[in-house]
Amino acid sequence: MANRRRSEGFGFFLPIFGAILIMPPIVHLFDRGGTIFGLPTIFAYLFGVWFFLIASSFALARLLPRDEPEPRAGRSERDRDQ
Amino acid sequence: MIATNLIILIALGYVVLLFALAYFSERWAKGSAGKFLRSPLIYTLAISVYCTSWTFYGAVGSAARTGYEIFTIYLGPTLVFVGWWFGLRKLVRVGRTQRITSLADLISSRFGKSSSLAVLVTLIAVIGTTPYIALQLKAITSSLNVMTLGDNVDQPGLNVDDVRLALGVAVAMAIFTILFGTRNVDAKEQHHGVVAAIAFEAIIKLIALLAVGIFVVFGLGDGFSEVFARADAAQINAFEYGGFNSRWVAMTVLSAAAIICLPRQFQITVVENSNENHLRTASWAFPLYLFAISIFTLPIAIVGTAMLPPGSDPDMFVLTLPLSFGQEGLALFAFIGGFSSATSMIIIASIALSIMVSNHIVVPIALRLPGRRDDEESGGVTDLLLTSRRISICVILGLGFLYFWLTNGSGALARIGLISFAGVAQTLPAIIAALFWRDATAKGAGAGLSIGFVVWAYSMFVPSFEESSISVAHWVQNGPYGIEFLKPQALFGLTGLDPLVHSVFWSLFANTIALIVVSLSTSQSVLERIQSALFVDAFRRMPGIETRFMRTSAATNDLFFVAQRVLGAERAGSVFDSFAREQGRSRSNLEPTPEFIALLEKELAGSIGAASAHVMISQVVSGDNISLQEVMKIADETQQVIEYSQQLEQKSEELRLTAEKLQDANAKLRELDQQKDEFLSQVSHEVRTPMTSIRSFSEILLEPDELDAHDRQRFLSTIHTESLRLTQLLDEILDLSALERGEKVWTNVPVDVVSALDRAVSVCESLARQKKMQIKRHNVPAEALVLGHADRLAQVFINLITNAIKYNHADHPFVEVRFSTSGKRLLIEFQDNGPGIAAKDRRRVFEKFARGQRGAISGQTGSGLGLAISSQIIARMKGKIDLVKGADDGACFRVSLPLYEGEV
Repeated sequence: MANRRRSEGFGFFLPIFGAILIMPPIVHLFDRGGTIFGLPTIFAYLFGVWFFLIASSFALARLLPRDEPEPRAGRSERDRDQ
Repeated sequence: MIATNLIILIALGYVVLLFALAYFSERWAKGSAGKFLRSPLIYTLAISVYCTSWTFYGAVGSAARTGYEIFTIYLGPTLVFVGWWFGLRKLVRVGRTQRITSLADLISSRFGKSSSLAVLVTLIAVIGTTPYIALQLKAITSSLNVMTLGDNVDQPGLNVDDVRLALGVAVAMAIFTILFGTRNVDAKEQHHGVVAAIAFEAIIKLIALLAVGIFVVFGLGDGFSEVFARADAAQINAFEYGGFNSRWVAMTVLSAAAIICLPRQFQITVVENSNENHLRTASWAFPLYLFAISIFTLPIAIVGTAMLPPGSDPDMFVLTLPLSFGQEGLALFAFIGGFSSATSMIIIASIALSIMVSNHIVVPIALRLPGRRDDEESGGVTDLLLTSRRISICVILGLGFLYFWLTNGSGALARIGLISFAGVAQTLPAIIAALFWRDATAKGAGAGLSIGFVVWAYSMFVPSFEESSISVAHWVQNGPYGIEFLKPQALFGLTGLDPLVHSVFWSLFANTIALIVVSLSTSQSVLERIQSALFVDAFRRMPGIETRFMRTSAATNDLFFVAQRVLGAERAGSVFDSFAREQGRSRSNLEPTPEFIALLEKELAGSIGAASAHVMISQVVSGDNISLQEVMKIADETQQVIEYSQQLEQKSEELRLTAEKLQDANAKLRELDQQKDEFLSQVSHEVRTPMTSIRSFSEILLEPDELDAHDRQRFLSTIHTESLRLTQLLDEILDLSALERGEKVWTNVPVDVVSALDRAVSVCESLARQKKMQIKRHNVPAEALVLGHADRLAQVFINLITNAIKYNHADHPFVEVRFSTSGKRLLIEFQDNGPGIAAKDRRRVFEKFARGQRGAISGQTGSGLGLAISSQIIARMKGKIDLVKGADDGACFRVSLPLYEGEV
């Protein structure tokens, strides 16, 4: 249960954190010219953040609990009613 | 240059391939391959219908014109998918449990199955999507022009060929969509054939764009860094972009909204979803797809600007670059990629829109037309639905074509795309409110949608005709009738903003404010309250809430009649049969319980949308709805049940804690009980020894004659000693138990430790002299005050010193008493040079009757209670007595007491 809570928290804050990273003012810090591995710093930064989000999301997809076999609409709900 | 006919032939061949793919997938979907067709991979690829020709051609153009801005279009959706657990998952869950068929259906269903909301959303979707379809047509015609003419110069206006071509594409797409998108009216509106074709197209467009990108970066250029080095020459701000401003933020927000609100995205993500867990894979795989398709965008733009002659259309770099460098095969592949991206968008968008139009506009009107009920035959509504869908598709594509024709294909691709985005984004506040805000009302949603839509149309959609209409251009320049205050791109005098930011801000702001204010000032209808609970609490199971609001005596025949009209005789029969089986009756005797009616309504909703299904069912069971107050009561009861169950949860948590405490207490009690038993047996043992000796000696004494006076004397004195020991033992036991029970209470008063020690030493002096024991004292202060009881303190000291004397067998025995202070505590150590205390006994010395090894060896007597009593006494004075590691081998007891600091 504690793990579920934790990974849900991770899932909640990840997009918020990602949004902050690609929004001004943080993004201005990397928009000052220069290169990293031959790529413009800002290009490397944006794609780096992007890739970080993908990798975290990949990890998250494994951490978050699987849904129980989902209720089929209609019929099964009625069954539970009885 | 490639011959026009050849290219058209290839495009046609590709479309035929799609037909074949869709056809066979539809057939395989029922067989073993169906599992693959319903896999998360296919789902993810289908979601990438998001990447239209705008991505394929327009992104490079946008990058050439404005640098990094285009990436917002992909970063927004990335954020939404990364946060799927809290947004998309709920949307998909609601979509599945409520049998949602479209975006309009979702909003209408949540707000009390309102027909007018459904119509409103449908209109917004159609008007917002039409420019987008036009955009795809434009992309196909321009790309074909480029391929055939090798055109480097942007052509002004349209020629007849373009119009004919666009019309041809529109017709071909209409045929495809009608064939595979309206084959049947499925209960879940899923189209496996179409989805398979879309997934295939997603692969083609990705590979095509990657191929062009690799050719450009590693064929024409020399790797990424070399390409980026040309950026300055191409006047593209790849290094210092400087455009991270309000427009950047607005576009990210718009694209995040678009991935949820665009009708085609909603269709694929929610309606076509066959398993909730597919979202888990899509949450990272779809952003990865976007990442891959964007990585070459900027390099292609840079190389294109740098190497192609000035004036080339940057929107077509993906084609013109390979063409200019003699790679006709690659250019052809890229053309097919672009064609794929355009057609997939057209197909899904027109399916999604046709479902909305037929379910929310055509069917409700048809149901209300007088005389409809007379010509009901088997499958009447099914036919109506299919026909209306087919016509809708034609109309929608016709509208797209019309927009393309009217705007003269003007405006860069990206601008048209953004107009669409901003239009459909108006549904976002309503969607969010639908899923998360229990008290949002239909009136609020309607107000928000209408106002947002009007503001969007006025500030963004109308100005898009600026280039083709002089009056619109005049309007935009000077405001309507010269009223500056209402200039479409500077509303209320808000100037200085980018037109996009301006429009997005005003429309979404007005939309949200209207939604909130109107929702707060109106109240929900009964049906709205029930639906809102179903949507907002989608993850909390509430069996039966929706099934209980109708009490009915509707005739089974009437219901069957309705079901037959919508679902067709076969499916209606199977629904009725399976329910009758559960009731254990035959179909004709089936009892139309409220559950059954709710189930039936849901089945119908899967075909014709919630609002229409509700209308149809209500026609049959009308008049039997239970009273409003009763329903309110049910809704309130449900709410109470939820709250009650939450309280129960809390209570049970409390109970668990209490039980734990009880268990602890019980364990402690058991331990105490055992200690008591041990204590008793030890006491008996201790008492028994002296009693035995007293008894045996007295028996001897009772024997006459056999003893001389000396022995008699000796025995008597032994009996006397033993009785003394016994008395002392009993005294000590009484003392200890009184101390433990807290009976012998004394008031702690300031006492002088030094004088207490003096008394103790003088008491022990005679015993010490007997054993030739030295009592040394160190660092004795003149006076040391603590809070305590003088006699008791002396008792403790006597006990410690006596112990040190009794157990010491050294040649020159001594005991040292050392005073010291540690902070505000006074420490008194009693160190002897005896044998010390064995390690295994160290922990037990303060327990009762624990005399230790040395006591046993030396044959010393003692109750074994002394240290236990001392420890109790010192504790009563808020102090502590410890066995510490002393300077020598012998035992060292340390008494530590808090110094008294007050006045005496």
